Amino acid sequence: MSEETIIESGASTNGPRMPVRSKRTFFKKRRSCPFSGPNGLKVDYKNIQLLQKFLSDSGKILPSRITAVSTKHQRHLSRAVKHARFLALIPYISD
Amino acid sequence: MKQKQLNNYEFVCIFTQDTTEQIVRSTVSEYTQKIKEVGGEVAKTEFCGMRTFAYPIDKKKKGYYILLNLRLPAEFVKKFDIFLKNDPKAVRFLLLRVDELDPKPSELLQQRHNLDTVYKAQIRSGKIYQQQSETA
Repeated sequence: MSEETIIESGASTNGPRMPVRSKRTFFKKRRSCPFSGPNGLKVDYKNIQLLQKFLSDSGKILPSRITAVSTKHQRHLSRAVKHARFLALIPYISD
Repeated sequence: MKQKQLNNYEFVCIFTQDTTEQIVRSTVSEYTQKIKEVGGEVAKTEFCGMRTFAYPIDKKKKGYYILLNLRLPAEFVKKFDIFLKNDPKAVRFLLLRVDELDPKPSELLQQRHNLDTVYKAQIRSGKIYQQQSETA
């Protein structure tokens, strides 16, 4: 059994070995959630500067696939945005 | 006798732009008195000042924001809610139950509009916050 494996591996040395391209050539490391972890930010409806990072120009909440916020914190975030909107800290819609 | 269980609440209230600072302070002290009567506590009082709304409320463009950190008995919350709804001075309010109260000055106080950098630095160092909490 062990002989067979040696022959197989030796076979590749016969010709010049072609460089194998990995499928993920353009793989970019996914950003982690800014709110998770012990040093994570705190979701606060009073912190407008923070909330505005997770809003589009028109005032909509950005999807978590763009901002990389975890599902749990996206829930907290959307609630915080809605509280801030109610208090007229951020607009419901902006042109 | 069993002591009443108190829950933590964050209370943000907006007063009309016609009110002066004095009226705001007197109304807030009125609220705090009301809270203390029923056995609640006021952990923090912040006068966040006049702020421009993101959209007009009742055709008004500005409002005076205050933030209170409260510890209230659960039965009182509903009464307080009804009381505030009937208060013409309070344009809008938000009473939220929170797990923990933050003793530090809030972002609302720090991120005020039309403030010069010196004043902002003083708020961050805690000078102005202390003055306000003492007077409150």
